Amino acid sequence: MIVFVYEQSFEGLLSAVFEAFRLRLTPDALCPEGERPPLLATEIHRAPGDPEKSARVWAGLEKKLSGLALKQILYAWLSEEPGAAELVIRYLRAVYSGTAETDFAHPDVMALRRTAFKVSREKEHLRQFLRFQKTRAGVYFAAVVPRCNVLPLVLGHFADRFADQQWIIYDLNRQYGYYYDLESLRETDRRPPVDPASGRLAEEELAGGEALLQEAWRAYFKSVSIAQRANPRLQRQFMPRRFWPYLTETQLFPLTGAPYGNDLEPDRLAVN
Amino acid sequence: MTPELVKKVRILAEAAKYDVSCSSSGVSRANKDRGLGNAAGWGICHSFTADGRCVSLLKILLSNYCLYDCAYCVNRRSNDVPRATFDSRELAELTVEFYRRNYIEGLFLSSGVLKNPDYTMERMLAVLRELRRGQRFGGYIHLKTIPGAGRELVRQAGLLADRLSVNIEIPTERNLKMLAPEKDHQSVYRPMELIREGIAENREDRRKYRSTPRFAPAGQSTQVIIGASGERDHQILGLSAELYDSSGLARVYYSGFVPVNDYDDRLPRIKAAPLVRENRLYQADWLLRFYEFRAEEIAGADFPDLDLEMDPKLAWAIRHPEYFPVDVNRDDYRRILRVPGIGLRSAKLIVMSRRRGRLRPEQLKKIGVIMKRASFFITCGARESSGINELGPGRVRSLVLDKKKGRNDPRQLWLPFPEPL
Repeated sequence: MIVFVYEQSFEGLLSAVFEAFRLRLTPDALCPEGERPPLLATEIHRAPGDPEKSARVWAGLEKKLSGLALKQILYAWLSEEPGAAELVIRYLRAVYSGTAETDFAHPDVMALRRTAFKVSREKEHLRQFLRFQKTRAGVYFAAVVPRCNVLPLVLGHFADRFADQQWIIYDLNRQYGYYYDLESLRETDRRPPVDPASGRLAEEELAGGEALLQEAWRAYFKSVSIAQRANPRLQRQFMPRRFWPYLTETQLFPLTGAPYGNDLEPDRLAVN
Repeated sequence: MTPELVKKVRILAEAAKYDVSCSSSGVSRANKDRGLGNAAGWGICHSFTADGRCVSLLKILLSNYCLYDCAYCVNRRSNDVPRATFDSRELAELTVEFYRRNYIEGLFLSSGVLKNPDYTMERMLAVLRELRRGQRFGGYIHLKTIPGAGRELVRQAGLLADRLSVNIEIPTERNLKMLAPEKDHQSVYRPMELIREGIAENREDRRKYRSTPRFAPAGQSTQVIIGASGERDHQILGLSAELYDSSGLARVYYSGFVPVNDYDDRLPRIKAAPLVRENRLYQADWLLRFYEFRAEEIAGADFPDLDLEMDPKLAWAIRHPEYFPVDVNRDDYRRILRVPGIGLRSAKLIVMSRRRGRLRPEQLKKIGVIMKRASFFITCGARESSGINELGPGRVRSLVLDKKKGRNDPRQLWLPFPEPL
């Protein structure tokens, strides 16, 4: 079993691709630096991250592959799935030995497409289900917990859409976020004071009137549902349960623990 | 935001929910001059309610006071329901506040008819102007045009909104007259025609001057209520096909009739909304728009209604065994598209992938073809012995339906004998 030890980043992966082509080897596994290589490793090569090499590889790929394939490679990496790095290398090996990138009968071509598809779906979920809360300072804040590392992929969307408001989006799982200050985007790793299970800011952090506005949204959400057409399965299919604790409209109680307005029974809200 | 406003939101959302359209698709627009908002061409659904419908726009009425007394409508004049009306500023600000929190893509504004259609339209346009100019809002706006509104108001509406719609509600005029005596089809088709003209003229003008402001860039749509009156499916689909072809509509929505006024004798007594029928109509609509089917192929005079047990594409295939088998490795894209179990995406992938060699069943499955349906209708080097022509349409029908319900016992031996003629 051939193992490459590589720097665990997209550039690191591209450097590993460089080594794979230079050595004319296809690694069976990639092992991040500092981790113990698999027991069955027979041959271990070091492929340290090298900005020059990774830039050369990317430039080469840009010449050889379509924009779509390049995107799929990046998305596969961001999927953070086990085996994604190996898949990218196998895919490139296949494409460079004559397989067409549209040959979906080839297992690696299809697998890359599938993995990338999962990531773009998660990216869409982030655009759909992210919810801002307005803070006392007037900054709009959102905490997210995406399955894949898709935050970088949606920044452009939010920066264009909310160009006239300051916002922060923070990935609670990966512990980093971005701050938009009306001029530019900056990465931040300062952990915000939120409840990790719901992404909610403490009541005293919220802007005045924010709690009532959130209540208006909950009221709206509840009112537009048609009881005679109830179909919770369909609802869960489109909006998986894992998002619910983080959505303003499906959160049950404010942090104080008191239920919302008297006609919003919490058990019915759980379905709504 | 005040508790009274929350109450208003509740009343006017409650009153708007029977309109099914919610899509925010059809127009792509970047943010202008660092204002607020843009439009994503594919449309974004921000939430899903307990009935499984998407929440993309703030779908709300300006007012639920109404002059009319239509039998099927919850807001009819004679109903005793709480009533409210928004002030234009109030509604524009609510929309913006929701938008800033990423709750919605924009506004879907409709209204009961106050005083007269023109007055109502004018009030609705005031909300749109406040949004676009006062709040510099660049998000999506869908405006329900009030039947009977004048030409100039429709023109202004088209310049402010992304999509306009006028609801037909009842597919045939005779039934509309019965359920809504104060309305006629003329009042619906005239604004629809004005919108169509506006879009066509705007397209001409924009060819000459790129800077011409766009008129209803996401087109127009309409809604028909299913099951409140006696129309058959082939009438409804015929109407849709006509609307897509000659009026250039972007979408026709089908709204399964929810009995809201069950005291009215003109309405059918039904226990539940006809959800399966509604779903089949949407599937048929997709066949019209994306699969190059003609309406009369899906439902015609000799089979006036859609089969509720299976989707219309499968039903068509079972009626037309002579069309099959389709050879996935040779036949063209349009033919492949007609195979049940093969959708747009998999048809494209098949055509791309087969250049490199013959596709086998396992690969088709990986590509995303639903083999338990498709296998009866295709050849791909294997399984030729159990196609629809060998088994007969009746047998295929029962096999597909059986599998769907999971009634097949895997321990039971089954031999594919051709059906006796």
